[in-house]
Amino acid sequence: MPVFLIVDDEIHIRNMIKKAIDELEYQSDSVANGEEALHALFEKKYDGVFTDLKMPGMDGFDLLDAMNEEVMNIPTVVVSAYTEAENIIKCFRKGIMDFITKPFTPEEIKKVAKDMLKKRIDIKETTQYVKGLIKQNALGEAEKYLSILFGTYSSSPLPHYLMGMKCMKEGSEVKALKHLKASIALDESYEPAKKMIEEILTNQEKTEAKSNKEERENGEEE
Amino acid sequence: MAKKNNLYIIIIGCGRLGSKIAANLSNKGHSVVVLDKNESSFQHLTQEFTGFSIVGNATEIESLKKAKIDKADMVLALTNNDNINYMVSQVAKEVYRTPHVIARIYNPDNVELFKQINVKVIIPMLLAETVFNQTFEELLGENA
Amino acid sequence: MKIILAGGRRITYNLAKMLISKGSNVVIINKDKPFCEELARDVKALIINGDASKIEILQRAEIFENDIMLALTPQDEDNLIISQLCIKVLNVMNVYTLVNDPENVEVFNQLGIKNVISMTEMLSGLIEQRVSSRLTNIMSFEKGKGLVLQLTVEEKFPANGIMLKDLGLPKGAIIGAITRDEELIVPHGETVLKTGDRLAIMCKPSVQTKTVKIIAGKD
Repeated sequence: MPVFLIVDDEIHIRNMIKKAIDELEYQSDSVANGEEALHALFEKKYDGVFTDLKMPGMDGFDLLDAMNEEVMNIPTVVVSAYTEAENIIKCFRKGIMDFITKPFTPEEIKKVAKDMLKKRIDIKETTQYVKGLIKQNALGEAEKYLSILFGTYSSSPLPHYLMGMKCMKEGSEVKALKHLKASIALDESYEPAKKMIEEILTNQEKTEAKSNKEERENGEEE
Repeated sequence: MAKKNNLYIIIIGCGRLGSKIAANLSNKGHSVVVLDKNESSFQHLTQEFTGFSIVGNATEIESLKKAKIDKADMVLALTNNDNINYMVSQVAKEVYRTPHVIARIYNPDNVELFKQINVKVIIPMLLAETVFNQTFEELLGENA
Repeated sequence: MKIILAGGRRITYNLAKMLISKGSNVVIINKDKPFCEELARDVKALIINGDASKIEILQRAEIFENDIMLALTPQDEDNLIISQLCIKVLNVMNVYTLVNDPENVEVFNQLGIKNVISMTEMLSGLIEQRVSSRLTNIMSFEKGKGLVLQLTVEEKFPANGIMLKDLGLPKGAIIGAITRDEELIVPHGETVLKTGDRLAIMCKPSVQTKTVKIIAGKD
């Protein structure tokens, strides 16, 4: 269920954006300033953020900076009456996905909400595609897409996990383990990476046990 | 126009009528933008109003663009000047193809011009006349 | 055939006098009573005191289809309704109107009023002409299909001293007029270009660069 964060100091604006999101049957949370927004972003995984620029305390620019510092990589749309070109350019330089001027229509909000989701879904599609490539041994191709994923979703455990998968296919267990551990470091609850590490370690134990056994047998023969 | 519950409505003129209609419509859940050339006119807006307000002259296309008239589902021309209401109605209908336009005019003489472009008109004098006639008949009826 | 001037003050006053001196039959419609009284004294025209945006006032002027209407009020919305009443209700063929907001030129065109003049645009165009001594784009016409450029010939231009017929101008470009020593010359093939000649070039946008290059060189 897609969930968005709405950040604006005016209750009417928050309500209008919320109403549009409700019409899409998505969920949303609303906060009144940048500090509350940051708090919420640490608590929950949002699919997109709508934020105003002019807010008391931590304003929209500060929020965008904070989100970038934490490398949150959540699609963000600014909704503001501040329409001077420099402001808009400043926002885009901070990596926003889109800028909506006030007054806005419900349709505009709905459209960018869907755009933000599209950006989220891409990571899933690409993951499936890369998995397929690895299975087929098209590792060069896989590497290409992996670097895109690393670039766009650097705080997600997925790229390292997939890299681990690729290394396994190449036969480099040591490298695979390195990446899988990096994946867990980003998200300790990420099951697929945990599972793969277990499998590798179990295999390693088995292989060790086997070679120990052979050694002993060889030793005995002598 | 399929949806009926969250329309984007632009109201030109924030006088007594404009501000009242603005509050009503935003109460009903619509996205309302009020445009008036005087900032002081927005004092007419009550607490109930939950929409946007923009200062601007409706005879200047820049102001209409600022209000995003191209995205409006409905435009209400409620200034005190019939000619401005006419110009706004025309621009909305003919240039921006706004689906629904309603204008309040004081002088019934130019009704045809509005009808030609499919703009609904509200003429206070005629409404008052109708109600007056009804009331008159009722009072006479009571006295009989 | 008469000319009706609706609204306006100084411009109406002066325009009326000029038209009358050329023999035209002029009618003036104006809201301002004292101004109408002044006009009645000074100008030999029918003066109607009233609001030209009201149909009954226009009817008082007895406007026919072949009359010319000029809407000259300072308010664009009033000029709009006057023009529309004349076009749609009175079937007047020739309606000219002033607009103040230059963006309304396009808007009025879209609303069916063809002859729209923006004083702002005209004046800024004139200033641009004055200020820029080299190539100026004076106007475009036929919805951008044709351009009128103004270019003053300098000593170093390759076209300096060359006969028009030898210039090799591309198809779609013509030097329509030359201003030389304050005189306007309509050139022909044998006309030789001289330093200081101010050329009025008419051309299609697609050959603008080539034309300027041929005349002025690679600058």
